[in-house]
Amino acid sequence: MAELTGHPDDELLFDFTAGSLDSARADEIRAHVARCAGCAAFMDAALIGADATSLLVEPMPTAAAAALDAAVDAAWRERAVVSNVATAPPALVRTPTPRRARRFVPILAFAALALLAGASIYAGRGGGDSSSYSSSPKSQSETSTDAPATSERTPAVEADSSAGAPAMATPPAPPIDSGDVTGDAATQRECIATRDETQLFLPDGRVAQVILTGPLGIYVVCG
Amino acid sequence: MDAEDDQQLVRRAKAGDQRAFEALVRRHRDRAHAVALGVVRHPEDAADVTQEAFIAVLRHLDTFQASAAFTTWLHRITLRKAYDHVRRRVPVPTDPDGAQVAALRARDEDPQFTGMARTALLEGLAALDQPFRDAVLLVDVAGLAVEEAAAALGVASGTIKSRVFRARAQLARELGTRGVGPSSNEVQDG
Repeated sequence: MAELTGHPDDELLFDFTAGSLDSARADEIRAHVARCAGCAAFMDAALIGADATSLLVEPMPTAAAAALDAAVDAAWRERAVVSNVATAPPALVRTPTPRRARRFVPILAFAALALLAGASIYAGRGGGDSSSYSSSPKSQSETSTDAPATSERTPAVEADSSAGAPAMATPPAPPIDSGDVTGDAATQRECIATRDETQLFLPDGRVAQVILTGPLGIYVVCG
Repeated sequence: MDAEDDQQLVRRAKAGDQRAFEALVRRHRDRAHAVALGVVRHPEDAADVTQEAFIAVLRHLDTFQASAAFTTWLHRITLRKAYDHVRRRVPVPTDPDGAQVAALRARDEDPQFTGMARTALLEGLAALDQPFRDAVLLVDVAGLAVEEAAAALGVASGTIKSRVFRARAQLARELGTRGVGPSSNEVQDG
């Protein structure tokens, strides 16, 4: 600790009046103040000022406190209402239009991703090796009732077998529900194809046609 | 409830416990009101500011980090709301018949606001430069620790100590010039 030279600065005087200095430093300050009228007056004034500020802290006026309580209560209720709306189940706020739009966005995104990755392309029908992937004939006939022929919508793309597309067994096609499909689970089933899925069912009953295989998996592109 | 510290009450309020938030309001409203009063100088305005501050706290409660001191956050908001209030305050128009002055004087004579010392103190606070006023309000009125006030104002702890000490001395000088406390001749800087 350096020896005090000259007048103690404001910070040191603050610590002294707060009693937070070690005893040796406090003794130094005390000795200085005893022989320096300027510092003594300055310190006394600061103590008076500190006492004076205590005048400000009083109980809040009763009427003001009651108004504050009422305002806080109202704000709390308003906050609770906003919070409830924000966390409401999606089924309560879902509308058909955004649901339909939501179905196709991820499909296009997956297709773009796979194409950019230089994926090999495998045609599900009308081209490629049908032994590694094929749609169930039953499902195709069911699908075609309301949907245009898939071969007319989707160009056949030759698969590159050297790309190592995984061979996939043909699963039984689930029944196509072209009715009013609601709920997130149903939406995801229709929109996303992974390695575990070989069939994509569209809202209007069509079946996806082109499978893209790439480093991130297998993706399905709609016609 | 009073045995709970602020952080516990904040945690419960964030979880949806209205009573916990009300306990925080009851615990800190007097000092928040005093801090506001030190800036806006009128009890009714200070009550408005206090209300605005607590509503702002409630609206942003979810973003409050539990590691920070609640009082640091509250009083920083209170100060900001108080200065916003002062900036918004409509200037008193010319008052040829003295009606406005009489109204203001009547408000100052509110029973909650009597006392020459208190009035002189508010005038003294108004005479301080804002950095000094803020420091003394947060430390001596809000009761924040030096480190908390430093965090609230974004300055070093040493700066807070210096400002508070100097502000206290200047307040005493202001009180002296208004006939309260030591006379201005007795107080001089060290």
